[in-house]
Amino acid sequence: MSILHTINRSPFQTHALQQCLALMSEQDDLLLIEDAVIAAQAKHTLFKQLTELAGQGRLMVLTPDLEARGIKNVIGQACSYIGFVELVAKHKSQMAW
Amino acid sequence: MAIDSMKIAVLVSSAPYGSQGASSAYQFCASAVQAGHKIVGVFFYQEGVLNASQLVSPATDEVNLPDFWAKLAIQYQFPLEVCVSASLRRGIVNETEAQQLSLNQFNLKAPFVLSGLGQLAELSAGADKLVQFL
Amino acid sequence: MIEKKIGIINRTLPHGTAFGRESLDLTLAMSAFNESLSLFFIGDGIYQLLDGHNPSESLQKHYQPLFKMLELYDVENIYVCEKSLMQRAIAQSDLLIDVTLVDQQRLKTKLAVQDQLLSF
Repeated sequence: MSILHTINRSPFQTHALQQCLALMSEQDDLLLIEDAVIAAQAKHTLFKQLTELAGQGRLMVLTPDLEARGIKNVIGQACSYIGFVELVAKHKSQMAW
Repeated sequence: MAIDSMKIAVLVSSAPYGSQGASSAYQFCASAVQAGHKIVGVFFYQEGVLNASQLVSPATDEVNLPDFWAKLAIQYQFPLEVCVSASLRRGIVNETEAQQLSLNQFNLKAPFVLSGLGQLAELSAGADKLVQFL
Repeated sequence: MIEKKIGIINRTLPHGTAFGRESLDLTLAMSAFNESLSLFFIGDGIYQLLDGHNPSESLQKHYQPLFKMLELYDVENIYVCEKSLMQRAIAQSDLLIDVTLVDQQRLKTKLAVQDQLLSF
């Protein structure tokens, strides 16, 4: 009964991350992909909430998209595309933001 | 085939170039089949239908995503379904539609096929998981 | 086989992009194959239902009347985020069709029971 939330936009660009965090249940995980990977490094207004998620092991960041953008020193667990597939297996559904 | 193999349907909502979503979808599909899962089909909707154009012609040192899709789908034998109404609105046309609409050209790439939204319902019904890329 | 529960989430304004129109097309088409659809309108998506669209001079398709087809197609689970309405100073009576207002907790519960989610 859990959802894998994937998000692909920067929190500086849209409110999608804010909406997503507001609708995440306790069993849900969040995977940052594409432009959203910067949310695991930049000090935006939702960073504290992401840090809490990371502390609970519920924040993942797609490594190839971090590398593509030269982003280092992020919170959350590094995740490959294979890891992405495993997250899909773990959860009942996926919600793209 | 892994014991816990999943049947996955994928919905692609973004164009092959200009945003990353379709590339992410491709990499996801390639990893899923590598890991022993089955892609039951990829459905292209919204700007995603542009992935089916045989006229996509990037420079030779750049990724040609329609080619990538075609090769992966042939190798792992899954259908590439393209929503017909979303396609016609965006100028993706197969030979039959071109004849019906009296158009001089068509540009749907093989093995992509035009199909209705009912086909998405069928993929959804036959899949353990549905994954969408925006 | 038990029919899958499909949640269709609308979170985009009408006309600026085609997300809303193509989400509605998809909903109406899928309703012929699946009787367990639920629609969600959150964030800017609530403007899809704000009565009185007239996009002709904007060169956009006037698809809003098709929302009335949902009832004929037996799509009855239509949930609108109460907070999103309040933030945008829009009342339930301003909406084109009958909907169920939900708070965030109820929204989470309703999303969690879906087998598949489609996001627009």
